[in-house]
Amino acid sequence: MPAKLTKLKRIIRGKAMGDVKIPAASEAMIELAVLLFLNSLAEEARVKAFEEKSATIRAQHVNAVTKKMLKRARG
Amino acid sequence: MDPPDDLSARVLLRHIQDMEPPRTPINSGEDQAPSDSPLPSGSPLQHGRLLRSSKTQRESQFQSPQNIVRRSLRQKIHQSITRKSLLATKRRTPSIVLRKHSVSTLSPRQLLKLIQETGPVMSPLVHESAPPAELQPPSADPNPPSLQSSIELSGLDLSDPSMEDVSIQKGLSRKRPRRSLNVTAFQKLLKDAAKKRESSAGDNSSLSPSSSTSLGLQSPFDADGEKSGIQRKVPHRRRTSGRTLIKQQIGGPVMSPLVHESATPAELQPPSADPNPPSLQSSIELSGLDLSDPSMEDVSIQKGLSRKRPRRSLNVTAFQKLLKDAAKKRESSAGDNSSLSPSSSTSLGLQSPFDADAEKSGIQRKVPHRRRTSGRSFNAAMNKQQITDVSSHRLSAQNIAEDANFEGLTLALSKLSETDIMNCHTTLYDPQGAVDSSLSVLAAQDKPTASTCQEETQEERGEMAGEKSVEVFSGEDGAATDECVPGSHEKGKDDVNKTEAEDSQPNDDRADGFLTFEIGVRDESEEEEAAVEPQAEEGEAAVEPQAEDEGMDPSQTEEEAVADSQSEEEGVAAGARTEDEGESESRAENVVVLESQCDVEEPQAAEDASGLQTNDEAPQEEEWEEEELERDTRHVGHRAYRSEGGLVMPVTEAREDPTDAAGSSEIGSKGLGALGSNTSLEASPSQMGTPEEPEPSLQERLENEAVGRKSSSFHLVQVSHDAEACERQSDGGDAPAEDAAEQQEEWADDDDDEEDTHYEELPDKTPAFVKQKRIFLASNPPPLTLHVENVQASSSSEALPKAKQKQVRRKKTEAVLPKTCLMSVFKHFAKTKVSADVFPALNNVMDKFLDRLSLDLETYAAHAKRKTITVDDVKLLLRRQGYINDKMPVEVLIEKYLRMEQRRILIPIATSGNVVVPKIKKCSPPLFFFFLNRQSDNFFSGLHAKKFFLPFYLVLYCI
Repeated sequence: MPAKLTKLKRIIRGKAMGDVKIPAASEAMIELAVLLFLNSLAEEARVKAFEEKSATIRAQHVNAVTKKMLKRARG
Repeated sequence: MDPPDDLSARVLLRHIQDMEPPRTPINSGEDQAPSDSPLPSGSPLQHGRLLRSSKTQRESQFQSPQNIVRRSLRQKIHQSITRKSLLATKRRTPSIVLRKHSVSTLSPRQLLKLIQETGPVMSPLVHESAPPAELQPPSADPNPPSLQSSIELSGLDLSDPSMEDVSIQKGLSRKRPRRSLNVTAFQKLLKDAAKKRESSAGDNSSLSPSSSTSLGLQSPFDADGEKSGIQRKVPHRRRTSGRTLIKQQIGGPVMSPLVHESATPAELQPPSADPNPPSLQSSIELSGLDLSDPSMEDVSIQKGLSRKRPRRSLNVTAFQKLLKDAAKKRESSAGDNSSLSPSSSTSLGLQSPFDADAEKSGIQRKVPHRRRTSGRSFNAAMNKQQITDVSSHRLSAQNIAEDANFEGLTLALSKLSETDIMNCHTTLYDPQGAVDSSLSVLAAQDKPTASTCQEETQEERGEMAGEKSVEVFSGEDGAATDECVPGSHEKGKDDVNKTEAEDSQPNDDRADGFLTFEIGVRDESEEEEAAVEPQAEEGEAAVEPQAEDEGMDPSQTEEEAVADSQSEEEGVAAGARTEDEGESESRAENVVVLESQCDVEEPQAAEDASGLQTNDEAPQEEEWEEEELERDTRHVGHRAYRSEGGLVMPVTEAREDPTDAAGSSEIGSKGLGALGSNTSLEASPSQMGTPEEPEPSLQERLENEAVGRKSSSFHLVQVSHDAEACERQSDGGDAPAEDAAEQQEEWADDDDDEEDTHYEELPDKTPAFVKQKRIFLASNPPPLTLHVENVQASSSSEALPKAKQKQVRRKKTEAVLPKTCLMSVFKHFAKTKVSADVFPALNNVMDKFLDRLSLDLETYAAHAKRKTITVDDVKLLLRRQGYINDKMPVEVLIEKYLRMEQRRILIPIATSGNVVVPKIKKCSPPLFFFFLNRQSDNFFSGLHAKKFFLPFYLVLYCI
C-alpha cells in the first residue's frame, strides 16, 4: 500500500525457469504475497529488535529472522 | 521559636553529653512550671526582638531584670549543664557568667554537638529547658518588659555573639545548624548515640568548651560567611580545608574554647559586675565579638570554611560513613573524643554554611570540586583518615560517589560513542557508497578540471592525433559495438576518477586520466575539426577531461614523455601480448574489455601516435566520428562522469601508447600494439581482478615499457574501477545504454574477485569475439581504427557476454526490488525505526523469497498444465504459506494490503445494471442458492473457502 511494488512481473518472469504469463490479477496477487511476506518479516524483525532492546531494526535483526521467515514462505 | 529550640537543644545536648539529663529536667522543671503558664513561647520572642532594639533606652529599668533574666537563664543552663548548683543567685561570679556566656555562646555549637550526640533526645528536652529560662525571670521579675528583656536576653544570649554583627546571621546560623541537625544530627545521634555520648561524657571537660567555642565560632563564621561569605567560602574552604581540619582536630577545639572562654568570661563578667543592659549588650556584643574575633578574621573564616567541608561530608557522607564505619568510627571517636567531639561539633556547625554555600555556589562548584577532590581527597583521606577523622572519608566517599556517577555518565557516553561508532561502521560498511561518494566527489572535481583539460587538450591535439587514432580505434570498435564504447567511456571516467582519487601518482595517473580525457576531448575536437559530430556530450566529456587536463598538463606532458618510453616498451610487450592475445588470454583481456578497452585504447593511441598519427588522424577522425556518434548516443548520460572517465583511462593509456607508438612501431605495430594493448589491457584487468598478480605481469611488461607508472596507474585504475563499479551501480539508472556498459563495467568493477573470475571467464568467452575483432581490426586498413574497433568490438563482444553475466550478477547484486520502494514498504510494516543497513539483508531475503515464489508459482501453473500464473495459483501459495486460512479470507487480505485498483481487479463488485465487474467465471446456481440460504455468520467465514459466492452475495444485496 505505501508504495507500488514495481517490476514484480518482470522479476518473476526473469526468475521463472520457463516462459510464464502473468496477468494483471495474478500480478496483484503476487504483490499481495510479497507484501504479506514483508509484513511478517518486518514484524518478526521488529520483535527481534525489541528482544535485543533496540528500537531500531538493524540488519542483524533481519538476518536473524530471515531463515525462519523463508522457511515459512515455502509453497 | 528558634532561640528556645536552640537553648533547649543546647541544654539538652550538654546534659546528654554531661550525662546529666536528670539535673536539667529538674532545673527546667522548676523553671518551667512558672514560666510556661504566664507566657507563650511565641510572644516572648517577639517581645524580645522588639526589646532588643529598645534595650539601650530601657537600660536602667530593664537592666536589672535583663541581667536577672540572663543570669537566671545562664545560671540555670550552666547549672544544668555544668552540674553546678546555681540556685536563684542571679548575680553570678565571673566564673558563672563565663559559664553562662559559654552556654549562650555554646548554644549553637553545643546545640549542634548535642544534637549530633543526642539529637533525638534533644528535642523534648530543649523545649522544656528553653521555656523555663525565659519564664523564670518573669517569675523573679513580674515586669513584662523584664520578661521580654529576659526572653530577649535568652534569645540574645543565644544570639549574643552575633547580635551586634548580625542578629539575622545568628538566626541564619541557628537555622543552619538546625539543617545540619536535621540531616546529620539525627543520623549521628541515632547511630553514635550511646558511644558518642559516653565518649563525650568522658571528654566533657574538653568537649564542652570546644563545643562552646565551636558554637561561638559558628555565629561569627556565619556573619563573616554571610557578609564576605560566598566568595570567600569557596577558596577559603579549599585552602583552609587541609589546615583547618588538622588545626581544628589537633588544636582547634582546645584553642577555640580557650579563646572563647577567655573572651566570654571577660565579657560576661562585666555585665555581671555591671547590671546595666548596655553593658550587657556590650558584653554580649563583646562576647560575640570576642568569640568571633579570634575566628572572625582568619580563624573564623578558615574554621568556617574548614567546617563547611566537613559539614558537606557530614551531610552527604554522614549516612554512608555512619552506616559503614559506625562501630569503628564510633570507637575511634570515643577514643579521640577530645578531638573528635569538637571536630564533630565543628563539622556540624560547618554543615550549615556548607548547605548555604552548596546551595548558593553549589552546583557549579560541585562538579569541578568533586572531580578535583576525588583523587586528592581519596588519597589524603586515606592517609589522613585517622587525623582528618571521618569527615575527609565522608568527603572522599561523596566525591567517589559523585565520581562514580560521573563515570557512569561517561560510560554511558562511551556507550553512546560506541553505538555511534557502530553506526559509523555500519555506515562505513557500505564501501561502495563511500567509494561512490568519494568518486562522485572526484568526478565532480574532475569536471571542473575538465575545463582546464580542454585547453590542454587543444594544446595536446598535436599529440592527440595519435590519441585520436587510438580513439578512432575505439570509435571503430564503438561502431562495431556501441555499448563497448560507452563502457569504455565509463571505464575511462572511472579510471579518471580513480586516477584523481589516486593522488599518489597524481601526475602520471591524472595526467593519464587527463590525457585520456583530453584524448577524448581531442577526439571530440578532432571530430569537430574533421566535421565529425562534435556532440555536445562529447564536448561535455571533453570539457571535463580538458579541465582536468589543464591541471594535468605538465604531468601529462611528462607522462607523455614517459609514456613514449613506456609505449615503446608496451609496443614490445604488446607484441608478446598480441601473441598471447592470439591465445585465449588476449580474448580474455578483451573480455576484461572495460579496463582492457582503456588499455587497448592506450596501445591504440600509442600505435596511432607511433607512425600513423597523420594517417590515423583521418581514419581516426572518421572512426572518431563514428565513435563519437555512438558515444554520444550512449554516453550522453554516461559521459558526465564515466564516459569521460572511461575516455580518460583509455586516453591515458592511449597517450602512453601514442608516445610509445610514436617511438615504436607504426600501423603494423599499431595492430600489434592493439593486440599488445589488448594484452596490456588483459594484464591490467588481470591486475584489476588480482591486482597483485596482474601487477607483476603488467609491471614486467610495463617495466619493459617503464611499467612503473602504468602499474601504478593500473592499480589506480583498478581501484578506480572498483570505485567506479560502485558508482556505476549507484548510477545504474543513468542511461539505458550505460546499462550494458555499466553492467560490463560493474562486472569488472563490482568485485575484484568477481572481476578476476570474470576475467578468467571472459578469456573463454571473449576469444571468439576478440579473435574476430582482431581479425577484423587486422583486416581494417587503418589499424588505429582497428585498435579502436578492437577496443570497441572487444567491448561490444565482451559487452554481450558481459551483459549477460552482468545481468545475472545484477540479479544477485542489484536490488531485486527498487530500494526506495522496498524500504518504504518495509518501514511501513515495521512501524518503527529501520536503519539503512537493513536494505542489503532485506534485498537478499527478497531475492530468495522471489526465487522461491516464482518457482512455486511456476510449478503450480505447470502442474495445472498452464503457462499462465493465475490468481488461484497465488491463492494456493498464500494458503500454503499460511496467510490464508479458515479465519482469514483472501478478500480481507486484499482489502487490507492492496490498492483499490488491484482490489477492483480481484474482488468482483456488482455495478449498475447488475453487472459484476470482474466476471465470476464459475457460478453454479445450486451452490449459489445454497450459500444464499446459508446466511449465517458461518457463511462469511466459509466464503473464503468458496470465494465466488461472496460477490454474488453482494450482488444480491445490491439488487
